[in-house]
Amino acid sequence: MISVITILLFFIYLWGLGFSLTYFIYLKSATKPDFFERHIMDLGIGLGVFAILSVIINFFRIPLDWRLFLVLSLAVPAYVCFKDFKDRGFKLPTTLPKLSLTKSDIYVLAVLLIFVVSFYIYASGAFAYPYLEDEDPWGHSMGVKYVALDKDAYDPIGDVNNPQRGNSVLSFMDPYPPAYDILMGVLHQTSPDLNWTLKFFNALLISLGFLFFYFFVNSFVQNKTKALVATFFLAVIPSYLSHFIWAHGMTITLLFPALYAFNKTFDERKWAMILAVMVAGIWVTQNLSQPIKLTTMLLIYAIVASVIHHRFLKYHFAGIVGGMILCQFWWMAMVQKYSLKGFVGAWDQTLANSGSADVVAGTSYNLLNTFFSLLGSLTNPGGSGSRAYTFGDFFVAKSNNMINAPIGIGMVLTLLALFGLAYLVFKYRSALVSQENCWRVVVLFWLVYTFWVVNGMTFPISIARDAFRSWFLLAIPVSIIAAEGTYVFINTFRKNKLVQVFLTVLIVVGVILTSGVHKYEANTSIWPTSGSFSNMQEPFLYGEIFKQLPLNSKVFLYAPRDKLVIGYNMFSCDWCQEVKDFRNDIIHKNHEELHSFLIRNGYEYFMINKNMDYKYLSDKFGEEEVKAILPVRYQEILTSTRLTPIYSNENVVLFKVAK
Amino acid sequence: MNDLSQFRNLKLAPKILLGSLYFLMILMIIFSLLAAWNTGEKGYKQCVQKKCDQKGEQFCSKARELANCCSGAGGTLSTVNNPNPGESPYTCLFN
Repeated sequence: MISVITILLFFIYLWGLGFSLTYFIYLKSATKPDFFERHIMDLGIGLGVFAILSVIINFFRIPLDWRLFLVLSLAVPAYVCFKDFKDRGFKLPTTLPKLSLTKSDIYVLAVLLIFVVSFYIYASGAFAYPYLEDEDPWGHSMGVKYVALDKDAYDPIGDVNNPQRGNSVLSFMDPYPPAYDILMGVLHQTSPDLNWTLKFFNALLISLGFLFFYFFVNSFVQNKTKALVATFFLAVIPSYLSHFIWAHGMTITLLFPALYAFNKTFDERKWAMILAVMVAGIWVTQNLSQPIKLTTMLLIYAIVASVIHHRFLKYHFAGIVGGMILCQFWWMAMVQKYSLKGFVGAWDQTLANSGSADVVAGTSYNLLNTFFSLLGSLTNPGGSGSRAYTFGDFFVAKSNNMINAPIGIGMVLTLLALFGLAYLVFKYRSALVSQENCWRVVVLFWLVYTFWVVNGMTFPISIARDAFRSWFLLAIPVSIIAAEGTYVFINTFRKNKLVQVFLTVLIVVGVILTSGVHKYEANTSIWPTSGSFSNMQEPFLYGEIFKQLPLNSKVFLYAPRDKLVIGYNMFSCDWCQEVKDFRNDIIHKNHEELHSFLIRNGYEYFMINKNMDYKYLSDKFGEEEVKAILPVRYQEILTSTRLTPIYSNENVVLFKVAK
Repeated sequence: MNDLSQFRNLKLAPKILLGSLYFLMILMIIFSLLAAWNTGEKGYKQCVQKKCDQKGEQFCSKARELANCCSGAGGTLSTVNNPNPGESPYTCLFN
């Protein structure tokens, strides 16, 4: 169910917070960006402000309420409006501002078109099925619901002695940084349809990233055409973000306002403050691996630029370090809550068990052992989707791709990137390390870094975690270098406009056919979902069943899969103590006890799913016990007069709970 | 020659920067060429063996891990009809 008011509020939060931060910088600034750049980048900067501000608000245990964010977003804009009004002697302006379209605006309109098309593709793909895909989005749905209702981002019952994922109640919050769930949770407070909120705003965030990317590249390479071409390439490259719902989408999107602020710091050192806020935003949005890689990219930029400019860029470094200090509002709170060993264990159990955490905590032994354990953990390329890659994986984009971290570049784009790379290396050679070529060196270093990270399992040495979750980072330098290659190639024929137009069309069509089509197909196909379901049809069936019930009805599943209920727009309080206690012994509760529990906790519906119940209860109580007791329980439930079946098939029964 | 003298005229830090960039790019090319060893039947078996050594038999016989090794070796994982008892029901096919 579309919530127009929430869409409006989303833009008010982001723009208002971004405007509030940049207003004081632009106030005394000699140069101001044009209308579109200023306000679009205010959205990007506002996203970073929202991330860290929400964590700070949570740190002081102030409820995360949408009204608070609305007031904070509008405070400075309202003050500015009032000040302007006062300066005019409390008279309304008599003339309307002149509307004119400059050449620069045409580029922005083209990028807006890329944004609209991308958003349409991402959103139509996300809404092609009624469920949430895979497992992570269901986990996020619980965090989002918790923030929306409890207005808090600390895990309610997290076991401080055992904070590893799976043991804490909320998988993507505490110790996992919560900014993504907070943003979605605050939006969910005004948009009752959680499923729609997650899908819509996740797609919107990723698509807005293309606008931020354009303004970053424009400030980076100082050329609007190259920036536009690079943005087009990033939008069509299959390995850049899909519409998968997870915190990575927001973290990567935040990189572009951070890099934009980095570029602006060259002109005005006050921008280092904004850089710090953006870096802090990145660090409170995803669990270390992505923030480490993004900060490495920023550090590469800072080091390369320092060497080329023959001076230590202290404000740039201060911005990066400042951001890492600011994000301690989250990380230090986690270390304080779980102890250093517990906190390290939440990130990497092997590392915690190796004794390294003891050493870090100052209680134990071998420093060298610790160093190698830490290094091994930081550079472990593994993960469910990590593997070695062949040339074909890069060169040939495929429609049948990974849904969370798609791979592949595409033939024409690869060729353009290789041409751009060869041009940069052979054209400039020693002249590369000059101030006007600084961005070229930076982008080459980014290419080497991200290519190496992606190939963590292919190459004998790995330099970062999660190789397969780094393809979206590789897409960034590839797009910029391919844009440089395209620009140079087309300009070779600058004397013949007709040939230029022909080649431009040829490249655009070639890139769309060899990359864009595959990205479109991968993002609009029906994605698989949680392994909790018995077959491919069941998630659709659940969608149909829950669509008939009022939004946010309380539904209790016999299997401990409350996240499914939440993701389908219903509600079950998985984090409530009584629910947890009941689940601990659910198989031994008779139908009387079950019914009184449901009534006591306000559940209106109850659902059994033979396959799901058997699978998850066996995990907890053992196969033999479940085989013996579950049929008895089912018999009791099915003959109970207080539970009325309102839907049933051979595997699933939904009951209405009688009062 | 012109390039060489230009390179010599650079200060130490830019010289190191440029040298590092070219060194890393050459390293990437060498690593990419060496990655040819990861492909084919031999590469597939090496990959599975490495996983077994690191995380045990149960982990390395999972379909997902076998599929990762197989794709990394340039093949496609397929199921075998009626495998002998104790044998993996999966095989990696190469064109």
